[in-house]
Amino acid sequence: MNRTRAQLRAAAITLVLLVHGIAVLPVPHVVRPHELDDPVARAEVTRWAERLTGVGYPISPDELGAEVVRWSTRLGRAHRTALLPMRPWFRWTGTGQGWALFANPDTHPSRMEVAVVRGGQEQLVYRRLDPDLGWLRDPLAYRRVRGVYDATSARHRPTAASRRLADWLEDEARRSDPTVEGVLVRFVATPHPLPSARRRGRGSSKVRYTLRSKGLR
Amino acid sequence: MLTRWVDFWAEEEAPWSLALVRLLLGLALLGDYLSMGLRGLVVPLLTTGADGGLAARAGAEPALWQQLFGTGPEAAWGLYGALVVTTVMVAAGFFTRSASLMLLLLSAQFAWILPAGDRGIDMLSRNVLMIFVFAGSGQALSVDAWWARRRGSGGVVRIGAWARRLLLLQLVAMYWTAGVQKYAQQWWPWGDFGALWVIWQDWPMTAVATAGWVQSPLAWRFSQLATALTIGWEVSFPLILVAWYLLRTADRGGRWRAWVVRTRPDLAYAGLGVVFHLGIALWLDLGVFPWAMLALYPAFLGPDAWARWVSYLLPGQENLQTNADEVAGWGRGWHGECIDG
Repeated sequence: MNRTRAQLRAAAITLVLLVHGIAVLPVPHVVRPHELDDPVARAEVTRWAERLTGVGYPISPDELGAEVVRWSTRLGRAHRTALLPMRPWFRWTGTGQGWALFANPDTHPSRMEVAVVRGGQEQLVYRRLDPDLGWLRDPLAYRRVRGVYDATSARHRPTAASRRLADWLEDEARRSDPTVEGVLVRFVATPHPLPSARRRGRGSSKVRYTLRSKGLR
Repeated sequence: MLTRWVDFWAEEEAPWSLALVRLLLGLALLGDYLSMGLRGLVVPLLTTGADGGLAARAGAEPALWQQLFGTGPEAAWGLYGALVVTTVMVAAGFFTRSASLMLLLLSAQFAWILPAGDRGIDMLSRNVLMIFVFAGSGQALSVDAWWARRRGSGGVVRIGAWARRLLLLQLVAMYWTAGVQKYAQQWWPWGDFGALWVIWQDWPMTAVATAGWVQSPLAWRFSQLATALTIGWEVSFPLILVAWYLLRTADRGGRWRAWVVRTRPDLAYAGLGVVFHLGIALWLDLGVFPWAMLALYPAFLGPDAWARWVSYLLPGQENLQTNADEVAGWGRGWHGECIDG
């Protein structure tokens, strides 16, 4: 191989490794104060505070939460700044790094329910993994649609995309029944304490939030 | 040092591993796009709320596709059709580099239109497609290779080994950072290794939450073991680099090198990864994720290992097999060249 070409290739690969090496640094996502209000996050911070206190670094959950917000903001900002020149490239190619896969298993996951409203009456037509309530089961399970409504624990209010999901569901319901007034999409948080912690109780399910489709807004 | 760095990235190898990755990844992505179409999700996922879709109104920075073709159903079907066609071309190895570039850019447009629907596996796929744009992944198991042979221009084909090495580095970085970013205590001994058990019951992604066995003591114990294995495997994944280094320098001798050559811990890591992703496919409803990940695993084996398989399965493709010199050259290769000893 031509030596110059080999050198150019090695230089290009070095640049790629440098840029992606910075991008892949396991920097925690920027934690916002409201995220610490979530029960999963609160329990997590409390346990970490207990653990740190136990190993000789006394800190309260509130103090630890404040530190998490402060440091994750600083680190996140520094990481974003370092990658700023590459941002257009990442945007246009859709490439990048960021692999926090299953980082925080949700101990209070939300089970989605869809109810169709006709004449002011609700009829439950979908509940995740309920064999008897399977309306639009396949489209709702598709991974790209799931991305619109999952991770509800980490959100303190519904996203705009999830509101559009409710509107789309209303359109789908109307397609088969024009008398449908709208749909309600509920996210029911169901706590799953570990078997080893069940003596403290299982907790009860509660509606995290309900989305109303355009016909009901 | 600099010379060795340049030489390392200039090494060449037979194209089988990378071609297999291209073929399998292309098929996995094709399955995903067809699944999307069959579920009637082309218009919902690729149009804005104004057309009944899930995407946000094209705002100050609309996707190029939206600027060129609009935001309506026709534009959605156009993008979907282009995605399917280019995915077929990548899988088939037809104008491989151009098709990889087109698929990469089109997939990025999809991500731009509906960011919430773009998952980690989509970004990883695009990273791999970027490698295909510059590498010779279409030099085997492809229409391009068939055409080159037909024209008589296909000799002993060798491609840059850098491509597979970058792909492997990507996997090492991904698994390691996925491991060290598992902050939740359920991943660790003081959290009872309860992560997998919790994930089994995460409604949006689980496939088994309503199965009775999930609540059994045996399932709990098994999930603890699997959680411990997963976190141990991910956090220690960079050790595979050490194994590859020792394999590459096996001729220098020594106890550790002999142990690595004898036990092949790198293949144990890859094997555990296969089990890990098959478990995800079985217990979680994550669509293409486990399959697209497994599509990258042929990279863990050196091309001559695959060449032996190909010569067995596709006799008559001798021109693409590694010759004696190549095998010798691979004797100092990164890894995988002596899969069967």
